[in-house]
Amino acid sequence: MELVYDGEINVKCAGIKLVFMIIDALSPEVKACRITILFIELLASINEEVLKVISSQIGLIVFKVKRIYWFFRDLIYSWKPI
Amino acid sequence: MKKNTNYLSSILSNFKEYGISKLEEIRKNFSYNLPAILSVIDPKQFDAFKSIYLNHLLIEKNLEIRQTALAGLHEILKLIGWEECHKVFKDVMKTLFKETNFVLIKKLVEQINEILEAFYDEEVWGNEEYVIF
Repeated sequence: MELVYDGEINVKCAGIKLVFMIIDALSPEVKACRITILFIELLASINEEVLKVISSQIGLIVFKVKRIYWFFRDLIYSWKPI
Repeated sequence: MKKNTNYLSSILSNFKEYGISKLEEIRKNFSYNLPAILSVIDPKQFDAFKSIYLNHLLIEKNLEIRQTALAGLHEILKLIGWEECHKVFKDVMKTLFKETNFVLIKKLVEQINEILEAFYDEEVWGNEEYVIF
């Protein structure tokens, strides 16, 4: 995740690609808390290189983020107190 | 629920901006990703992107962007359903068939079967002979 916030733009772009590539392997905590926020942050980015990366992957990213959202939503709704 | 709606509209408005970006690569990415976005979010949202997409398909000066828009045409037609196909794309198809650029015509011919299928609804037209265009 640190790569995504790297000051060097090439590293940042590589980090963004990497994070969404390995998203399925991330821990549930990272998925739930950080990925959605990161995605929204990146969408609002004004850096051209970041925009190029995000715009090229956005179909896949939205697909994966939506899957995470539904997973946690189902988990929350199916949760019952013991 | 409200939070989710805001989240969705934020994605949609940002994605829409890609379609009118001054950078050709980003505009191309918009057309490339539009079918995926529609299938993940909701094909009914096509209305919001219609004018930008048609602009890429018919008017855009960059050939690569037009090619990309055309490559995803059959997927978009399938997603929006035959009713919308007839309403929006009938005239678009007529214009595309008059296209003189060989690369674009080739791309169009490659997917003509799928395009025609999208315009055809078995339940409505049944076995009757129906002229699409």
